[in-house]
Amino acid sequence: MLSMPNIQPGKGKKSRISSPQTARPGNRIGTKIAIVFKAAFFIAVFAGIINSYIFLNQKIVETDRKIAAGNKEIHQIDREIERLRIHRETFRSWRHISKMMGVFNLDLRMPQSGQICKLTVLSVEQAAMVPFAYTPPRQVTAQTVPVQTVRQQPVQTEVRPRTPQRTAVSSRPAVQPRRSTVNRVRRTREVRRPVRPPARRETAQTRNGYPLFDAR
Amino acid sequence: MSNNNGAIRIRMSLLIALLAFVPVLLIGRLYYVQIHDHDRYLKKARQTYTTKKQTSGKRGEIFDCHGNLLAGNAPCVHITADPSHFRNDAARTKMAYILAKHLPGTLEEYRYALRPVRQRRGKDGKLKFKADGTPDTYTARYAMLERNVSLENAEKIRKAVSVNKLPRLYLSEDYMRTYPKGSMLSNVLGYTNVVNDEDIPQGGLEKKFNKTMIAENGKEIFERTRGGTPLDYGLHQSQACKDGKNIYLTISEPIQAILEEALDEAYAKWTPKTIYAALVDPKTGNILAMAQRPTFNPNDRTTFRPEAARARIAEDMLEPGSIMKPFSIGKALDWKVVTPDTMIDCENGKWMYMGRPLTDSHAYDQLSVAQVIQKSSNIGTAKVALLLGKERVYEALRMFGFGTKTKLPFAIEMAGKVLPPQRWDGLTITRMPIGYSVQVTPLQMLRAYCALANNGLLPELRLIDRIVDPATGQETKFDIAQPVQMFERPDAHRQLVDMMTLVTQKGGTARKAAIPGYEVAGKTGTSRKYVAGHGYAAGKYFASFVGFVPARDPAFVMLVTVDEPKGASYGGTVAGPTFTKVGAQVLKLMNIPPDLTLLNRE
Repeated sequence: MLSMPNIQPGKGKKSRISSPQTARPGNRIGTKIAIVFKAAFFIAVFAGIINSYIFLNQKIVETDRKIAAGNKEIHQIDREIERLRIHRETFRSWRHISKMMGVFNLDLRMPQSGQICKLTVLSVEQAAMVPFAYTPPRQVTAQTVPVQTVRQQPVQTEVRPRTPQRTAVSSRPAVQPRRSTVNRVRRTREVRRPVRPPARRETAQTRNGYPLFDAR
Repeated sequence: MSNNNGAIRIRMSLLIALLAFVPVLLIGRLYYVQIHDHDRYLKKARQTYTTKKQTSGKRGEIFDCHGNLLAGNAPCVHITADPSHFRNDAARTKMAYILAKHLPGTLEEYRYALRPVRQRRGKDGKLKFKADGTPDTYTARYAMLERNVSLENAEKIRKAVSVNKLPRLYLSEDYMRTYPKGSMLSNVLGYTNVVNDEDIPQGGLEKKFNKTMIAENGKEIFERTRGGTPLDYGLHQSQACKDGKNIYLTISEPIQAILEEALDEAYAKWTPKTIYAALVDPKTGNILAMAQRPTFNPNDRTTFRPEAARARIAEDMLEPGSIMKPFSIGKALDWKVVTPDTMIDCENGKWMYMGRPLTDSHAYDQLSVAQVIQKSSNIGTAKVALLLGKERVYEALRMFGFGTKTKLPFAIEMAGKVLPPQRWDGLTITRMPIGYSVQVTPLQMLRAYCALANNGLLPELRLIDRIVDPATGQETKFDIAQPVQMFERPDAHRQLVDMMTLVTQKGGTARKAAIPGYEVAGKTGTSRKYVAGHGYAAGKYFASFVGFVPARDPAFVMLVTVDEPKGASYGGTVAGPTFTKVGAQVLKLMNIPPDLTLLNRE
């Protein structure tokens, strides 16, 4: 069959339905390639979905493994914490403390009742609410940030030689600081002095209620 | 030609039918497996990849009133092995060496435990032999090498095994009951033994509150991968384990430590058979400390001795001696039978009553009732009791709780023995008020003295403050019972306390129990020990001191009783210094300032 020349005007060309019979040989190959491409595209999408599914599954399994390992680690850490808690309690026993006092030859004694300073333990939030110069009443909470002290007037029961206080050996600095810096430091010290926590030896008992010690 | 075509057609049809039949068969089988027998196969498959895991909770812990741990659970590891992996003798020796290095057993013990071939034993425990006389052996697959290994040692062993490329050991996790404060309060706490991987309580609070403290085991059923990881989409049923409830005692660990240290010193000094002491807050009845010697360390079974394991303060009954005197005299004052100034003829130290002598330690002629307490005159007290009459003496003693249990949670608690007047002989009225012919427990004595310290109000003793569920934080509080007033006249109580303060002052029997700067009210007691079948044994005494301080507003009541002290026998001499030592430290701990006027006077 001879192919008929296209005598229709160019406008009508586009509206013509192309068929293998009517299409030119070049068009037929293009159609086939298009079909192949379409198929390849769908196969690729499908493969991609499958791949993603496998990839995600693998990730899930890996994450599960990591979670299991993490849980195991948490469990081990919990057990370690538990062990340390028991150790801490053992070290806090009076028997152990008195033994260590002997080992380190610490000449400690129980304070007279007037020498006792009570630590007021406040939470961070409570501490923030306390005015600077205010001394709160004795109050003990579970949280543990010592911020203020209440000192009782000592009862004069006996006269003890005053222990010479350890002071830092003052030496002239190699480079004299500028006057303004010195003043700033001094000012800061003056401000901080009232809230300085008491020396540890002045407390009658540790936070968990252990007694401090008699001389022996 | 047509025949050939027909034959081919038949063959083709057969082949097609055959080819069609195979899928049908497969489909049929598929139907059978996937639908008809689905449940059976699913169950079978699940059995393979479903794991059951038992989780165990922790036994409840015991704390003091400040939250210091007294009995807890230390994580530990049990080490087991499959001895069939140790056929190589060198590997077995190497493993035994590693174990012996970090564990208490010896190299030979571990080598023996790891032997792969063992001889069977019969039900009677005897070794079995085959008919030909050769040993009947089997290959062992399980050996328990060590229980309760600490985590540090287990880790060291694991690393050593890994480095040496030895067959692996199996480390199973568990908790071990532990007492971090050692022997502190051990008689009260009790201890546990492990039987079939379970803590079996053997005494004390461990036994009394076992049902409260015991943990509930949990169960977890889940589908897993080959590696043991739970499958996300699989079956997962879990019943969480539940930790036992924690018990908070009224005991204060610092005070307990002070008391125990003082008892150790007294025990070393007087080498008695037993010594026990306790401190009680008279206002609430809270027991602040309670100790005895000899004692034991529940973590170290070599220290166990039968006489050390008992809670003597609740189990022992004794004739208390003179510490009993304030009760009948107090009630005589209350019922206006006598006044503190009533003079009593003390017969110069020896008085014959119903043909039997009653003596005082020192000869006194005339003593006021106040002095009778101060000097601890037996004759004076007996004469006051005679003025009271036996019915009222009995009533007075019963009122203060003698003969009634304190209901503290001890596995064994004795009620004491106060005979009713109908069963008294003629002498009993003169003996009972001075602490003979009557048996009381130290706890009853403490409770009675709490009434004297607490303005005449008799409290119920408390040892358990609260029980807390660690999971929910829910607290079960043990309420403080309403105390009962013992005195009809507050004056009488005040007068009695005044008399008791004289005991620790100049002229009293317990100068050594005085605490500088504080007014101590108390009473000494020295009673001879009654030995069944032999009567009162010569040279065997109970030396006691009970007191409260500061006398006008007591912070605590303390009892110290020394059973058969060597070198001295008087309560004031033997028990008094222990009272002073403990009392002074506890007062400082409680931050109770001394009375300046008293200090200046001294």
